[in-house]
Amino acid sequence: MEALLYKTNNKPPILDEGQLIKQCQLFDPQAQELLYQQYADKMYHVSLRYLSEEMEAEDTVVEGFVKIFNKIDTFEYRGKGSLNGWIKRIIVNESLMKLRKRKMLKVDLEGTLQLSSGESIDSPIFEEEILNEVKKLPKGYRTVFNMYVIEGYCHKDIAKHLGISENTSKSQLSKARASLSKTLIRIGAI
Amino acid sequence: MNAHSNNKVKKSVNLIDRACQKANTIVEEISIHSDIKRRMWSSINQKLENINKRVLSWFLLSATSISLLVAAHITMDTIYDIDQNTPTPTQFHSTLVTDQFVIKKEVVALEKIKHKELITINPLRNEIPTSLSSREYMYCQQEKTNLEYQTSFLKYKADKRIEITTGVLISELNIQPEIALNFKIFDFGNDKYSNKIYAGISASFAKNKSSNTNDGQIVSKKISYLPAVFAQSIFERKNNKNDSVWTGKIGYLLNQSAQSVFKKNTIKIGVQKNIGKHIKIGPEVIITNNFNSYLPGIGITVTS
Repeated sequence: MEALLYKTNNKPPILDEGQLIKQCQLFDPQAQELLYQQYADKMYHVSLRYLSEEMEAEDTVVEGFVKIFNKIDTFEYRGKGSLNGWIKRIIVNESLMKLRKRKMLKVDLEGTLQLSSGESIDSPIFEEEILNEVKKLPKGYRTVFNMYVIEGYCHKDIAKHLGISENTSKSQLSKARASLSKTLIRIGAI
Repeated sequence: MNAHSNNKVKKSVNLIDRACQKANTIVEEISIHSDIKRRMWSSINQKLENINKRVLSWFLLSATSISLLVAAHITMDTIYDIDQNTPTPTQFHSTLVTDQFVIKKEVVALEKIKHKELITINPLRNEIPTSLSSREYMYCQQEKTNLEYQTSFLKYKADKRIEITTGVLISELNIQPEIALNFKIFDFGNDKYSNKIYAGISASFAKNKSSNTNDGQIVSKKISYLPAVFAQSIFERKNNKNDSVWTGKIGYLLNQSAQSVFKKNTIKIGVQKNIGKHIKIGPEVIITNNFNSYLPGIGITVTS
């Protein structure tokens, strides 16, 4: 069990994930902040992977966490990892909703993203470069690739989520891989 | 040859997927800038607060509505009881007057006068027949009752034509003072109910806040001293028996400007009940931003 600590108390009580969830279900602000501190970084990166724009990713994380805190009473803890999966699913859904709202899900073969330099405050690392190549993919390819390869959705679920056919999903994944294979070879990742 | 090619593709696919998965696992562990993190947390807090306020407003609104409904129910029950249980002459005499009947004292006074008259007319007579006495008594009471209603109705007719009201709207945003000028345009009714229709304008002074965020919700951000001016019409129904007054009002925002607290097409709807001679209270809702956002609250009005 991963031990979590309250920062503000003099003698901080040790909270495991289950206890943290229970406290959040009681709308304890300290527990909410603790949960946020624990997952914000990861979820920001998840959102950024789909949206590729920092401001949009921020908005999505904010809306996602508001939803998480409001719906956490419906969440059933089933051991370590279940909370992470649940939160990630909400953030992914929020990101997809944002994409859908802005009509960004149309397959756009020409429309590659212009990424701003220095996306992270940390010095760029090799892994970031790889992900930047993923972010540069056309929106449709990128979304399918993220959902299939990173999140582990099957084509049936992707088709359902995005409102496309399974074959389209497969075809976009294949094109995304083809596009990535060139760039990843170029930067020496594979 | 084909199998060899397929294997090569599969190997390449695996490499791409694995490279991306590994990269993602590492990148997800990288901390984001503390400013971004703080900014996001503050936005989350603000949104949660807004939700809490909205829940509180709805709770207050519901509580007020229920109270008013209960009050109305009691009022209706009382009226119903009076109507149903209005004593017949003999009942009246035998049970005298119930507590609900408000003109008891006056009836007694009239009886005395009548009694005196009888004595004055026939002082030498030792006994006054009981049946005659009671009949006189009942007649007087009936007559007095009618007279009471008539007086009240006439008094109501003589009400002023212009009404100035002040009030406040307590909502999730703040406490908004309001002043209104209403002109009576219709006045009609019967001996039980009197109805009035007013047309007028009201100005709400939303001292602080509000600009539209991206999702159209009103959020505390800037101070606006510009009053929100509404054209409004009011329907007022007064029960002449117990002086209870119900008021329904609907208004439309006239000054839609950038500085205005409320944006685009905005209406307000409210129902109020009097809790005294000059005070009314009831739920009110302002529907703004082209009817996409709503601001529930409780309105309290003081009439002149």
